[in-house]
Amino acid sequence: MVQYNFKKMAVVPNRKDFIDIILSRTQRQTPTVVHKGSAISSLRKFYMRKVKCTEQNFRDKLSTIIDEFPRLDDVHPFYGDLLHVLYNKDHYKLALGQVNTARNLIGKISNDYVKLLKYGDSLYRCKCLKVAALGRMCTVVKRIGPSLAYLEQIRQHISRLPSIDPNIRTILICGYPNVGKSSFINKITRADVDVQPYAFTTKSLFVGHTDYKFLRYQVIDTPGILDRPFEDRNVIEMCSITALAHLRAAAVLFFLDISGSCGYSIAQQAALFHSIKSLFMNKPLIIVCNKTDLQPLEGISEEDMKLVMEMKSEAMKTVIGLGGEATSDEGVLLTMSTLTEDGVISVKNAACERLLNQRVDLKMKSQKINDFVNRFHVAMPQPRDQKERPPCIPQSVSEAKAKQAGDKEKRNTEKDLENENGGAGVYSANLKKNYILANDEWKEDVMPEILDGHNVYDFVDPDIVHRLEELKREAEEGDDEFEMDDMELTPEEQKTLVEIRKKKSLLIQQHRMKKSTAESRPTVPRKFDKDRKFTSKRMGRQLSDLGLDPRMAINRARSRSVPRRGRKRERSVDRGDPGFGDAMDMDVDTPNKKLRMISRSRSRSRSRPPTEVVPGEGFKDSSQKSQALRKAKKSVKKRNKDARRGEADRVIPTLKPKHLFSGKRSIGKTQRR
Amino acid sequence: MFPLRALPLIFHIAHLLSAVRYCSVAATSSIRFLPRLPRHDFIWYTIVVCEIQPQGDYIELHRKRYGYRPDHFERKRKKEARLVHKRSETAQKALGIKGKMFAKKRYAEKALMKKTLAMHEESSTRRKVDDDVHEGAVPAYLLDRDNTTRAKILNNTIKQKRKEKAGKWEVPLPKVRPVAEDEMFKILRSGKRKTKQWKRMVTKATFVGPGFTRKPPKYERFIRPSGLRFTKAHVTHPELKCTFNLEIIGVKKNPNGQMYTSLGVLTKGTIIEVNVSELGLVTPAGKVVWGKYAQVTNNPENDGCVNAVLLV
Repeated sequence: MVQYNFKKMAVVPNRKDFIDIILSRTQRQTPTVVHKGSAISSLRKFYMRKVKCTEQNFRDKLSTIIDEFPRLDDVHPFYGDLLHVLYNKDHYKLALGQVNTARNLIGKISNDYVKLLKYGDSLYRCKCLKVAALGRMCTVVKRIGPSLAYLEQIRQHISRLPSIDPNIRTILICGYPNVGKSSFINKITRADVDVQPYAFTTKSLFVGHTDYKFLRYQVIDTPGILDRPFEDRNVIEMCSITALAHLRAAAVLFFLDISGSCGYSIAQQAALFHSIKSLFMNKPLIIVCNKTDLQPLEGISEEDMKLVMEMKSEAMKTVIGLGGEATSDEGVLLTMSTLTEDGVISVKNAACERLLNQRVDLKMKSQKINDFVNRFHVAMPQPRDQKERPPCIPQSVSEAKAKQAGDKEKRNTEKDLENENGGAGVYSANLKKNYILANDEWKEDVMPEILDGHNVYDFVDPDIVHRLEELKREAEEGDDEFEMDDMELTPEEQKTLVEIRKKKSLLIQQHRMKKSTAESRPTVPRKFDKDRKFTSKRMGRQLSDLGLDPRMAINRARSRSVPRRGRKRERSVDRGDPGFGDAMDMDVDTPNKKLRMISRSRSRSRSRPPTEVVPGEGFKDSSQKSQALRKAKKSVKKRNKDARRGEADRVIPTLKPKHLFSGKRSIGKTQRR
Repeated sequence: MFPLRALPLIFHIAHLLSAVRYCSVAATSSIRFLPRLPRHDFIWYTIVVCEIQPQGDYIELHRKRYGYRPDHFERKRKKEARLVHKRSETAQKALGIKGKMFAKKRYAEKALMKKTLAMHEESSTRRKVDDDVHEGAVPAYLLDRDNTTRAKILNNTIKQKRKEKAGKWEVPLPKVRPVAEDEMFKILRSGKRKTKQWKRMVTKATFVGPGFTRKPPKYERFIRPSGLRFTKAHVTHPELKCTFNLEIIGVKKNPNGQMYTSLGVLTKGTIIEVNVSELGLVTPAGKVVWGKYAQVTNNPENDGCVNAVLLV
């Protein structure tokens, strides 16, 4: 649905402002500082940008004008004609055409000068070209100054046009000047149209809205029309004619001043009716006799009555043309008085009703209706015999319903209570009566807030009983489990169970510790045995726990373990070793250590253990020394020394960095620059 | 939807439907039901906001009905009185280009005002009509004699012919700044190593005839870039004080030298031949003139167009 709203069009500035706006915008949007010494290409770019930017701004601004003004060929014919009547189509099109030409010219100028700027060889020349380009663009706009002024006037006027929707349900009021059209629209809508006792008070179309049967109706007040040839009609009258001609979804109210106080006789008004009746084709037409307070319809002379009847018969034709019945003449000729508001509402209702009927009829006749009408079926069963078949409702249901209805009525509101008990100010509502408590008697109890200097609420815990119960239940359950253990297991089994539980809890604990610190710890390979987990001592303990003899395993492990220091090769056998020959013959698994001990005992004196206290070192005893040594060792120990570079750290560096191998080679080597 | 004026009206109405019925509003879409107030037992308070769009000459209508506000004219007078000070303040405070523009505008206004004042003064003081005789004015008894003028025409044509033979014209720009060669030409380097420097590009505007084809690059010493070629000139007729956009036929003479003439370089002071057939000029003998000389009066490479004065 096209919305006809001409109120949002941008202001069309006059030519001087136009140029100022554009040039200052260019000034703000482009860089402003350029130096004589900079490269010629950057100079050219600087000025080209100015020229292009100006052109773009001009184009944008002119394009908005061209786009926003309605195109007379594209808008609804009603608006097209109305704008033609008000502003003269030729003039309007010419103005917009000039704006369009200016836009094209400016584009061409910009192209030419950008091309010339490419050959600019100095700052001076580039600047001269830029000045010339901008100057020529401004001149072009200066030339269309009158058109811009004209368009601005049109914009101002167009924004004050009422927003008429040409396709909606419309009631169109027409007639001679001063017959009460505007008073009628003021009565039935909130449109505030000026009403004065002279002709042509209303100079343009006015819109109001009313509703009937929850539907919205657009009411259009038109200026008065005089009975004269089409060519002689002025702009004001042409507005009405346009509305009559193009608003096809309208019901027409032809106003007739039967008192003749408007200055025109009934005969004249009838002549007008007949001259414009071609415009009423296919529209519901109602002839409204206004000002009955001055002159009732029955009181007019016979000739006038005849004229009125003639008009009525004409109006009847439209009814027949629309498919109505010839006999139903109600709602064709109506009387009213806007002064006394006699019959105003009935006129409105009649018009709305007829319009609605006509639209429904039209829709029923249209092709589209078939698409969905065939999906509807309203069953209207014919009675097959005389038997009454009332709906069957069980008595209990109807009784319950009746009871419910009775209850509903009976319900006493606070308001009722108030009225019964002395009215407002006297009655005070009981706030406690709707409390939801375990016992209804507690409702009226007095509840202290402070008791013995304590706030009562501090000691209230609504869950306390519930929680206590829960605790009790838990304790009972725990007891049961323990008893079961005690009762059914042998002491040995119990011991094992304790062991299992202990181990389990230990594992869990360890796992948790690991987990909690996992992110901040480095990964250390297992073989480094950081936590001293895999010692032979430990192995021995574990094996003996399992009931195995650990000695051999420990020995094997020891012999294989990496020696801590020294001992790259076996010492040469001492010449004077008496047990050597025997040793060679030994076929048993004698520990190497023993051998070593034997050999060493001769080679060197037994070294002092590091913890032995040497006088002068200042230690009290060996335990203190060992403690000190341990501390010293710890202090020089590097953190995470075992987290050495591993497989994950492997990286392939950029072997041929691009910046060293591409482009022009300046000073330096291929390796570094 | 309603940009101009929104008139919010608030109604406290007992019933919702009646609210809609009684205030037949401009558009259903414009009704907005604000959240209901707390329900007090049985009365619903509903707020309906209606927006009404103005139409027609609503401002004039309002003025007609209610007049101006009481202090309207007072305010207007004061505003006008204050305007001078405001403008002076802006004039003093505006900086940069805005300041310059404003100053220029004010200066123009001031000059105009002084001029008009002077004009009014002049008209009030009575002065004698000038007695200088207009050029070409003839006493009534000599009006029928026109043989002298004809003789003059003949004389003129002979003189012009002589001048043309001599190759000299009286031109509007008798002297021009000489243009050095390195300003006129840009050296183009050629060859695989860009060591050869025999090519020249003309940096000024040129005229190139319609049938011109470039030589092969090997032999093309002077390049006249197509972006700087012009085929039309804005020619002013000095007597008619009118400017026409005419086609250039050829370059007659460039004051900087024969070479530039043959290259068709258009610099300030160059004599060009233009096609005046559109003007419909006629020789004294009655023939239609189609080619006429004109002198270039601007620097076409700086202005992006060729301006010239017709030599009459």
